Amino acid sequence: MAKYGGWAGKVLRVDLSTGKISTEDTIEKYKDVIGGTGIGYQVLWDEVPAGTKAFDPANKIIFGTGPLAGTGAPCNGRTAITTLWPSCWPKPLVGSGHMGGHFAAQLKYAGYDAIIVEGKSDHPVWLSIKDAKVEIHDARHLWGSGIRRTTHEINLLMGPEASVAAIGQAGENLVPMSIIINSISHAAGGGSIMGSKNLKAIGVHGTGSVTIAGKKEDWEKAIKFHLTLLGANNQHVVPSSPQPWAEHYNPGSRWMASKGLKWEAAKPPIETGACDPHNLNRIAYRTNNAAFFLGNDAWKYTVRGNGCTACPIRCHTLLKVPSVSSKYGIPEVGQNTCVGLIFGKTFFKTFPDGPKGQTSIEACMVGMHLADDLGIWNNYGLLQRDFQKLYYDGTFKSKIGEAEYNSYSWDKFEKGDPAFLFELLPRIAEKDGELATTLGMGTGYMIDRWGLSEDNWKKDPDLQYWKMGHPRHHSSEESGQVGVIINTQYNRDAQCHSHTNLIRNGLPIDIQKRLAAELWGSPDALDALGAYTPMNKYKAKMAKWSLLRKELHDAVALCNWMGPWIASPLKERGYRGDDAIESLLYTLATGDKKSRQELDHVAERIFLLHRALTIRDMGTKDMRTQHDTVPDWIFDDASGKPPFSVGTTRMDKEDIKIAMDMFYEEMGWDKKTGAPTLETYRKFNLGKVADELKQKGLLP
Amino acid sequence: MITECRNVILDSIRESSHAGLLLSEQDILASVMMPQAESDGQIRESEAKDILHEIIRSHEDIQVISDRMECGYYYSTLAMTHAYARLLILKKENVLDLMVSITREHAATYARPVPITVFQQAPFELSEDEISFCTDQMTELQGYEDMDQITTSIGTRFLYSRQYLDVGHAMMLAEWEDVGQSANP
Repeated sequence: MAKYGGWAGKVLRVDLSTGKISTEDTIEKYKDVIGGTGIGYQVLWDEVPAGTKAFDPANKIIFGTGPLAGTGAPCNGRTAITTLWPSCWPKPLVGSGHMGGHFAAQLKYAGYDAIIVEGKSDHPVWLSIKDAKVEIHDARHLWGSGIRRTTHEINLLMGPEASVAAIGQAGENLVPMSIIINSISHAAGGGSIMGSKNLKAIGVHGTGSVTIAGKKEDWEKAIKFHLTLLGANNQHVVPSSPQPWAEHYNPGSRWMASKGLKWEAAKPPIETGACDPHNLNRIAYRTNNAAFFLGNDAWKYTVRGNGCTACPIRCHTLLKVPSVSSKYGIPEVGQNTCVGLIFGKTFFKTFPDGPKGQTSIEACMVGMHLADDLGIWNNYGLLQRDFQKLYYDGTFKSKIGEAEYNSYSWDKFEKGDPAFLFELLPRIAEKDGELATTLGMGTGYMIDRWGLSEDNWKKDPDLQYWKMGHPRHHSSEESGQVGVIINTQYNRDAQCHSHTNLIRNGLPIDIQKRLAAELWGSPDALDALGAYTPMNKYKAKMAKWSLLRKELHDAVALCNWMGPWIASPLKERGYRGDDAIESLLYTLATGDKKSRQELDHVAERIFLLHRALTIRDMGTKDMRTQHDTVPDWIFDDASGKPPFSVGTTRMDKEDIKIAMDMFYEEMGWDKKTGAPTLETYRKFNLGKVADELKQKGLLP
Repeated sequence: MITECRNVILDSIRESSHAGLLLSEQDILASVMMPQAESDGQIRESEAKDILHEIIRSHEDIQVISDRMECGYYYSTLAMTHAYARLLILKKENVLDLMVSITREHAATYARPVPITVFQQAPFELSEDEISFCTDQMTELQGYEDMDQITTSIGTRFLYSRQYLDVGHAMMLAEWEDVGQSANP
C-alpha cells in the first residue's frame, strides 16, 4: 500500500459497552472520504442502522480530523463530530458539529485521524489517549462537574499539553441542546450523545508529528502563499476603517485593527495598528470579534485574540472585565467568538444602558461563563429568540405551573439584568422544571411538547427559523436563492460559510461579481445585498460549489468559517484568492496528487453520502417536499415590496422552485424527488449505497 | 549632493506615507533646503523642485495629489492608496465635502449607507459638533439634496445618498449592518 503523508494512518475505535479498544487503517478504509465528516458519514452508513435513535447505544459518535490537521497549514484546527443529531426534529438524522481548538492536532500527534465511539458504558468514564496508550477511566468523581473542572482535573493527570474535550451537566443529563468543548471555548454540538454513552470526556496528548509528503521548501512556500491570501475573521478582506494601504474599507468588516485601537487590557496595552496585509506577522491583530459583536467599549477589556492550532486569525477574543467578578462572582476573564460570545446578551430584549453598553458586555461574560461550563448549546441563537418570543407572547405563563413561573425573576429578565442567567441556564442543564427542560429539547421537540404550531415559527422572520427544529444559517437574507438552496440541504442549521465569506468580504460589488464570473461563469451568480435577481444556472453552480467546499473543508480539516479563499486582500492580485489552495496543500501534505476538480469530486462523494443517509433514515426518496423545505417568511416582506425589487430580501415561490430544479440538475439528482439518481451514485463510486437504497425503494 | 538630496526626499515621502500622512511640496522643499543651506548653501529652491519632479518621473510609486488651491501633496503607493490620499485632502479642505463625498462613494461603489459614528473614528476624527454642523448644512445648503439620514432599530444613525440608494434599500442595508450581521454571525 502506498505510503502517504498528512494522515496519521489509524482510526481509533472505542466500544464503551465492552471496553474493547482497537484501531483500523485510515487509508485502507477511509481514504476515499478523506477524513472528518467523510469518515463520520461512512461509519454511520455502514454501521448505524436506520431507525436508530440518538441516545441508543447503537448510535455512534465520530470525532474526525483530516490530513491537514496538526500540520502548519493555516486554519487547520478542526474536528468534525458526526452522529445522529439529537435536536433534529421530528426524528434524529445525520448531523455534524465542528470544533476548533487543539484537540485535532493532539489527536493527530497521538497517531489517530479519528475516534469512533460506540456502545454505552455502564458507569461514567473518560477516555485517555496518550499516543498508543488508550485507556478508559472511571469518571464517577467527575460526573456532575462542569467542563472547566473536568478539563482541569484531566489536565492534572495528563499534563497541561493534553487537549480535553468534555461535556458539562447538560450533556450528562441528555439535554439535546448541549455541547462538547475543548480548549476553554471551542465547542460543537453533540454533548448529550457523549452523555448517553456515559462518556464524560476525552483527553488526548500526542508526542508524534504529522509527516509532510512534499518537499519542505514547496510546503513552506505553499503555507506562506496561503497566509498572503488570508483576510480577517470570515475572510473579510478589507478593513473596517480607512487605512493608508487600503483602497477599500467596510464599517461592517471584522478586520477591526487600526492605528490607535488597542488591546487595552493587555499589559502593556498593544496597538493593533494599520496591519498592511503584506506583513504576515500582523495577521493576528486584524480581528477583534469582541469589538465587532459587543461594540467599541470591548477594546478596553480586550487582552488578546485566541484561537486554534496554526490559525493566525485568532477569532476567540480573550476579555478581562473586572466588574463581573464582584457583581456576579465569576472569573473576570472569558473568551469566545460569534454566537458563543453573545450567548448571554441575546436572551434580553433591552439593557438599562443600551444594546452595546456595559451591562450587555457583562451579560456576555455571564453567558460565556455559564454556557461553556454547563455545556449548553444555543442552536445558532434560536434558543434565545425562542425564549424572548415565548415569554413576551405569554406562552411560558400558559404552559408551566404558577409556582414554577413565579420562581423566575422576570423583573430581572425584563430589565436586562445578567443575574437572571444564573436562574435560567443551570436549570436548562439540570432539566429542572418544565420550562427549562422543554427549552433544552430544542425548538422542534418543544413545539411538539407544548402543542404549538411549527407554522408560527415558519412565518415569523424575527425567529429566523428554517426547518427540522433549526434556524437559517446564511440564507436568503444575504445571498438570495444560493442561501436558500444551501439551507435546504442539512438536518440542522447549515453551517456553510463558503458563500457568505465572499458576499460579506467588503469588496465592491463589481469586484465580487468579477470573482464570481471567474469561478462560476457569469457575474450573475452573485447579487448585491437586497438587490436580488431571478434564479439562473450560475447561482446553482455557486450553491453547489459552496456546499462541496464546506464538505471538503470538513474532511481535510480546514476551517470553513475562515475559508474558502477565493478573494484576498491583495490589490496586486486583483483581490483574487486561489480556489485551488486546498488542492495544493492536500497534495503536498499527503502525496496524493489531486487537482481542484478531483478534490471537488471527493467532496461531492462525501456530500452524496450525507444525502443517502438522510434518505435512508427518513425512509423516503421525496426529498423535495419532505426535506428540502423552506419557511414561509422568505416569501414575505413587511413593507410589501415585491420579490426582485431593490431593498427586499423577499423571495418568489415560483423562482425558488426553479432554483431547486437547477440545483438538482447541477447535482445530477432527480428533479421530481430531489433524490440522487443511480447514475450519480455510480459516478461517485457509491454503487453499493445505491443498491441498498434501491432495495428499500429509495432511488428515484 | 543631488543624489543625497533625492534620497532624503524619497525617504521622507515614503516614511510619511507609512505613517498615513501626505507631504506637501512646501514641506519637502523646506526639508532639503534648510539643512543643505546650513552646510554649504548650494541647493537652491529651483534645483530642489527639479529633483522632486525628476523623482516623480523616475519612481512609479511616488504620486502627487493636488488640493483645490493646486498645491501638490506627495505620497508613495508602496504605503498609501490614492483613495486614502484623497480622503486626507478632503479632510484638510472641507469636512462637509468629506462626509458627503465618502457617503456618495459608499452608496455608489458598495451599495451601502455609512454609520455616522464612522466619522468620529480615525482617520476622520471629527467631533460630534462638527458632524452635527455638517449634517445640518446638508439639509440647508444647495448641492446636497441627495443626502439623507436613517436610523436603525437600535438607534444608530446612517447617512446615504438618494442618488444611488432608495430609502427602502438604504434602510434594509443599515439594519443589516447594524443588527442583522451580528445576529447572523
